[in-house]
Amino acid sequence: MKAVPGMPEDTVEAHIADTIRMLKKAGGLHEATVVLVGSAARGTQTWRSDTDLLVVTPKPIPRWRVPVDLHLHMETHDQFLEHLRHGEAFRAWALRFGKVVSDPSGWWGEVEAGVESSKWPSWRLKLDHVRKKRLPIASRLLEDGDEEAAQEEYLAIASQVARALLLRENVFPLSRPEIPSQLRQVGRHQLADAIEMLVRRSTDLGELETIAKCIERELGWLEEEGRTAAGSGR
Amino acid sequence: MGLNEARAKLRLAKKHLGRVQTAYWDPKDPEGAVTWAFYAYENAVVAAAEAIGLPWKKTHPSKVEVAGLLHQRGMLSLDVGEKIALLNELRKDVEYGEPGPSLEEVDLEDLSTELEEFIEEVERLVESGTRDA
Repeated sequence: MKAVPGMPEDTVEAHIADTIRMLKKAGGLHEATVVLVGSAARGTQTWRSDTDLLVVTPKPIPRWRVPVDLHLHMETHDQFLEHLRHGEAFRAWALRFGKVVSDPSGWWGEVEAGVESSKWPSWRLKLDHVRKKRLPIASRLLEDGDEEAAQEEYLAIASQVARALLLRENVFPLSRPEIPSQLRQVGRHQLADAIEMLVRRSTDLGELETIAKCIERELGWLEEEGRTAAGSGR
Repeated sequence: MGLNEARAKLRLAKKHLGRVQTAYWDPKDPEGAVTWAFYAYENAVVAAAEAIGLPWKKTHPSKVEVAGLLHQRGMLSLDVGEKIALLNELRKDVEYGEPGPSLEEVDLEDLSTELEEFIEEVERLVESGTRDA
């Protein structure tokens, strides 16, 4: 793994080892598929990157407490496949770029070989969620002057909007730190600059207001495209 | 930095608490509640750290660590590090638009009450620093 300033070199390995240990303890290791996803799988972590691990099991297993810098996505085989069929980008991403840590049953290999693994995710799927749930929180944080929290929320929103834009342009979004260069390739320079700034350093309220306006423009454009596509039956 | 920063962070924590309190009344909004509670706890921890001059960084692991130190040093009765980690996990699921079953298990009234008590304790710590200054 690539060393990240401010992040111990072995953090990702430690999270993986802990997850394997907890799965063993829960008696689920022999049938659990564990996949490293996100920037750690691509070797592109930044100071604000978490470790993201996907754990897929035939039946639900109880969750356990994890450190604050580990995000564990746990689901069953059926749930994973349902999300994949539904066009969820995260599952398609895991199949394309995830690093398999453990797959003793060979289930992951079967899914990779299956026809559904090549399904193109839906670019419209998260737009409503962003508009109705995430943007109101981010804009209130900005009004409150909570720079750190607003930056975090706007980064998440900007990333979701960017993924939708890229998917619409038939470009599969890579990990978050790689998205700005992909956006530039499709002519979305302002959003690329915004994400780069949010990922690389602390932003002030003035910068966040500019970023919020940029996100609003891009989201509005995507929503309009979605309405046009729906109207024309595309 | 110091007491002014502590008071500013405390103000943010209280503002976010107000939204957690609203989120547990009908129509309930567990997704909003865990997000606001997470940011409220983080701001309250930073307020306490600033009040006593404990260094912290703008990362979640740093705030969890500081929460533990504040408790170990007897400044706060609770180590809320685990609570912050749990809320972070819940709000990340929410952020992706996929709130898991764990969200249904959260008692919003308890969440709000515990947060309020914690913020009150942090406020006493900040006020005691103001008096000593």
